Amino acid sequence: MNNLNPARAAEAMLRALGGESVSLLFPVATGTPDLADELGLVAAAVEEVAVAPVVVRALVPDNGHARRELLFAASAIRAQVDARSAATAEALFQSAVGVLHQGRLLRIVSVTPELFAGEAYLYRVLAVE
Amino acid sequence: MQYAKDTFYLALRERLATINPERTISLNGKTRPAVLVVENELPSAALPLPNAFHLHWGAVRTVQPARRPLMALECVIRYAAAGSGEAVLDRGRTLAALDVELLQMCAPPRAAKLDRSVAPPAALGTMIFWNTPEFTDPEMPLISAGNVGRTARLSIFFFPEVDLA
Repeated sequence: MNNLNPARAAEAMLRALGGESVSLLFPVATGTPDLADELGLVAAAVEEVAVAPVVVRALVPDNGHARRELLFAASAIRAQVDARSAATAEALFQSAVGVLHQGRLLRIVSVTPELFAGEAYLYRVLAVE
Repeated sequence: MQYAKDTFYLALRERLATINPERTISLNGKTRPAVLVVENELPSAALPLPNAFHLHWGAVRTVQPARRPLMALECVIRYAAAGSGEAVLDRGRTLAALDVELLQMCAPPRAAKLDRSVAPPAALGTMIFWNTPEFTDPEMPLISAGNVGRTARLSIFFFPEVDLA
């Protein structure tokens, strides 16, 4: 079986389940030669990158803080990995400041790939407010 | 107090760059010495980073009451060693190297307090000084399975920039 088929099937499934678009926030490299960013003196700029399809599931809140499980299609993440020259999908998520969903900024806690024949077809991301 | 924090962090950063120029991290598109203040960084799933020193600020207390008292600020330094290769058998040796580097960074235990928010940095007329770090037992795992980590604690002594009475 072509390894791309599970990824396509996952993407189709997410769309069928009403997959929406969320924004991953990435810091913009300042390139500042001084230390202002390391001292917290400058507000870091971020860029929003829309990713779809994504299914967002609400989890039991933790101490009043919202928790969400986001299911990302591997094909969409693969495109971002290539676009941002990330080493891996996990590295891509780790480099993100967070996820913007319905006006809420969620911090990424964990990333778990769902694998078929050694290839990821889905990424399960736990994010908290 | 912020000047004391900035001065201590930058002292460690500059010393690490001399002690081990290869001990670096890449964060937010910038390669820099592997020491950072967690509260100054963007919250990210990338933190904590292996083989890097993470500074956390703790409690503040008055050591010697006065119109301009001597203050103490606790600093907790967390770091974890990620071994090399798949077997990661050298985690212990890497942790020992990090321990030594931390001791080297903390010597001499003083630095001139500077206002780094302006350019060029302005001398504030006093020194900050600190005690020798106290190391805790190694923790496994501190960051993730396969890493061996440790926490070091020290107190930074300084005079505030304003009179309090």
